[in-house]
Amino acid sequence: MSELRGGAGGRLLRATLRLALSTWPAHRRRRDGRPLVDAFLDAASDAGWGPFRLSGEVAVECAVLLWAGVGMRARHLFDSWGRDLTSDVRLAVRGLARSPGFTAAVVTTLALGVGANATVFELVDRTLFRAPGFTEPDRLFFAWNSIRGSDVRERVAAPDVAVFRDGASDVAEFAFVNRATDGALERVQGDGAEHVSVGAASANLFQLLGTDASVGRVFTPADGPISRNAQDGAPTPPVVVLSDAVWQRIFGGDRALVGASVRLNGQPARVIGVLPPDFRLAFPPETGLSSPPEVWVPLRTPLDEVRRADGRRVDQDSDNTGAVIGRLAPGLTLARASERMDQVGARLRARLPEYREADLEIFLRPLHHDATAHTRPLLGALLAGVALVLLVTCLNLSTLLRARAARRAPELAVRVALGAGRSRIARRLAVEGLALGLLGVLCALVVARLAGPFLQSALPSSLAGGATGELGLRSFVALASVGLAATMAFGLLPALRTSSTVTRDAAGMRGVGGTRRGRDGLVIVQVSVSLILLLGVGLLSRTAAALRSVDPGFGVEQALTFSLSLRSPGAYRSPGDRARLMRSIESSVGEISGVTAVGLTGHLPLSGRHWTQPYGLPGQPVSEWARNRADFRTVTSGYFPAMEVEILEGRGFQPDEDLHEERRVVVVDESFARRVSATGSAVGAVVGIPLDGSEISAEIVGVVRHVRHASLSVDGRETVFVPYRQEASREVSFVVRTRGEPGVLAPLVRSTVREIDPTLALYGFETLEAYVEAQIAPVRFGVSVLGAFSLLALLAAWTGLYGVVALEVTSRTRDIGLRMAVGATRVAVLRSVLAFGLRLGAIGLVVGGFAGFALWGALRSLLYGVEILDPLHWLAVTGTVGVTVVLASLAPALRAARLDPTEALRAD
Amino acid sequence: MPSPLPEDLLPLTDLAFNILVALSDEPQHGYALLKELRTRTGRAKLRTGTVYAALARLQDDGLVEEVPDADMGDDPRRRYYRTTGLGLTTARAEAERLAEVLRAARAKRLVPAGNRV
Repeated sequence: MSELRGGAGGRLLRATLRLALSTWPAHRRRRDGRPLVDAFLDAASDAGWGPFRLSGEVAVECAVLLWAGVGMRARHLFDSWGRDLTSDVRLAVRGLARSPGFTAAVVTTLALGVGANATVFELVDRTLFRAPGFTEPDRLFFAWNSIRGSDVRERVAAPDVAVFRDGASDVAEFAFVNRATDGALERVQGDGAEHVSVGAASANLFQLLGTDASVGRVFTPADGPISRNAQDGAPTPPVVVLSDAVWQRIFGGDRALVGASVRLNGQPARVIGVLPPDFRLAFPPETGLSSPPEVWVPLRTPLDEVRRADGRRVDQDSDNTGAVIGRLAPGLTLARASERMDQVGARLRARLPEYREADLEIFLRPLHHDATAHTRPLLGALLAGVALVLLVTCLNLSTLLRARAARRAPELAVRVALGAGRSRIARRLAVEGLALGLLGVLCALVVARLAGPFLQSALPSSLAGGATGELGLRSFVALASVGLAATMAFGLLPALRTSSTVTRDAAGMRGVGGTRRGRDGLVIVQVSVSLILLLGVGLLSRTAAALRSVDPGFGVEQALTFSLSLRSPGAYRSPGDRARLMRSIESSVGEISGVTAVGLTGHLPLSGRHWTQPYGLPGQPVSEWARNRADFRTVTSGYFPAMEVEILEGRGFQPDEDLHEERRVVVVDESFARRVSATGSAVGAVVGIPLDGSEISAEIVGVVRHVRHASLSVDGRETVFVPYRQEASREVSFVVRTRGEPGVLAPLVRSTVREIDPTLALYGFETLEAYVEAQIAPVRFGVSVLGAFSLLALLAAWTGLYGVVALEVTSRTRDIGLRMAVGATRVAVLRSVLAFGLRLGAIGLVVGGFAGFALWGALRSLLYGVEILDPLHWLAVTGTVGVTVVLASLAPALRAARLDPTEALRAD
Repeated sequence: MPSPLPEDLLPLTDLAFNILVALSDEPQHGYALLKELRTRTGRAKLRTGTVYAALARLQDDGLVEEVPDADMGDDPRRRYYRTTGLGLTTARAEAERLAEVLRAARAKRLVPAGNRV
């Protein structure tokens, strides 16, 4: 069969087999191809196949060769990637170690930018986005009372919830949470009580939320009513459910606590369960539950049995109002439920004078949205700020990586010349980018872990809502993916571009590192981001200053405040007992040396609690009272001097008036006085006020300065002060005016009160100054966080601009030399380089100005006492950024001006 | 690339082991190898491409090498292959491994008596 070796048939066979062999890796094909074909031909000739059989055998052989080739390729690819990857990683690590400056710059940029992002994202995620540990949270809502046609919303009275249930049980279930009260919790008496916030809830609350206890159980309907011991008929201790935080903080997460007895406000209580750690029930501030309850007790009367007794006043301060939480029936929308609640509202208006007179209606709001509405603007500003920081981070990364790619262009060109393919080079650069990214993410994680608790401690309580300062899984994943994506996007793209430039022009060592327009764009964005952030810092710090300079209507300095809660049902049952106790505390504390005045009030200004009632102007019939609503405050005679609330006309209360009921007197503020008489005196006028369900007349004996009760930024309603005796609430706040430093008196005051009754639960000792300053905390928090961000951004803008201008000088060195050689002065060179930097800076300022105006305009609700377009503020902020721009451009410009023309001309 | 240890290459495929055994005593050219393999393994339809693919892999792994300047036979174009030192060690290790398997099989009476291998 020698014709198979030589002839035309043989050539065709060889060609066919070689075609199939072309799938084999080149070295194997070269080495084994020919012997293989020869061996096949030998076998074929020995077998003596006919042409038909032969072509079949060749076809099968070709298939075998193809298949083997594909296998070899796959194995080869896999092996070489694995092997090369190790070497790439080794090379990348070595390369990064060899340029520690570059590595440190990239890692620091990533760590700060991504770390800050993760920290803020965690906060925002926890507060706004994360599921609050309820079943189907979207079906939950808050129900409010509101005066028809106004946006004032008020807490709903407990008895009305029974009416809601009667009238709308087919559209929703309802639960009720009493406003939070302060309590003292300890394991055994004398253990050292811890201050906790106590919420009373209808027994169905947790069931309605769909939350189960992590240890023990939650309330059942049987927990509601006061149950009595079967043997002696004594009431059994009430049950409590603890939040996870309190369980950990006070009892160290002791599981044996469940079922055991603790003391709440000095009375025994039995712990039946602990809520899961992710349980976060946040409330809008108007519910009076701005510090979410940490200890839950059931309402002692089942909701359906709470009835509106005739003559009993239901006001915004009593224990009988609170937050109503509902869950929509399956398949129903909030709009549908709202329609039904309108009907319920109409029924209540027809039945109850209170609803009729005040023209109250009921409206529903989605639970989560409502609970977070007040925190959203500030969190939004932080999120916007941190997004800008991320942008700057990415731009910086891009600049750094491009610069490195440009510096390495010659080295890469050599590699290409030595035979490295484009993909090989791109892969090496990508591996380096990935290594950098991983390192950066690792450091960012450390930054976030350090910054988390720090942010947590700086967090105003209104934002704290269950945040722990620890990084959650979502934030961690977000952090890692943002960090890696940023490095890959800004590391890989320049790498690809570099490798393509290099391979296209292997000898070319210039022109890499991005287009000039791209670089200029980066700097412009960096400058504008700095401006946007600085504008925000300025606006917020001026807001803080404006709030601080607001005259709240009382003397902030040299006063101490603390609160007292008479929560144990047995003690001080009658209003008279309570009034006597308060009198004796006032007089004992007043005898402490250094104390000049002592007074108390049902609730301090700015506490977020209020009690709003209708009232009647002189001669006004009761039917018209609903038009007027005033803020009512109970105070003792010592309150005005202790708070330094100025008495403008008439007098304040006298001590005996606390106990005086025959002649009812009130003190009003100047806003109220103006309603009574636009010009003359209000003192002596008789106004109508509701008291215990009936309308009574009271004489105005004095007019005091208006006090900002609701918040520092809101002027607030007219106020009526009534003697404490009339309400004798179980919760009061004392104000102690001192001659010296008020803070040091706290222990003395505490021991003085203990002498009167050691079981009293005192809490909230702080100076009035600190108390008021806490109002500004969210703004101050915003200032410090945004301040840190804007520093980062300003630094980035500085380095970015410096880099671009310096690069401009380097690339124009010859040109500059030429111009100097033909007579351009150094000043002219300086001016032209400076102009280049300033032009970029100016564009950045204009862009940032517009963007800043838009952003802060959208976040206007955060601001107080400052105009967004305040010229002075803009001048200061643009000035700061402008100076940075000038300084960043000046150094390279000076270098250009100092160039020696002959040297410069020689530059390549 | 550092040469692999014999243990790293185990277990060998049936074909690779047979090639190492076939080339262990004297060099052979491709076709002779093919014929021996066909006889010994009983796979009459063993393809040239299959054998050469295995041979290529064995050469890449350094278990088989081409005999340089071999002038051993009738056709000067023929390439002769032999098992390298590493190949012999590996083949021995594989044989040992198989013997171990066989011992185990025998202990469990999977090998019929009188049919000693």
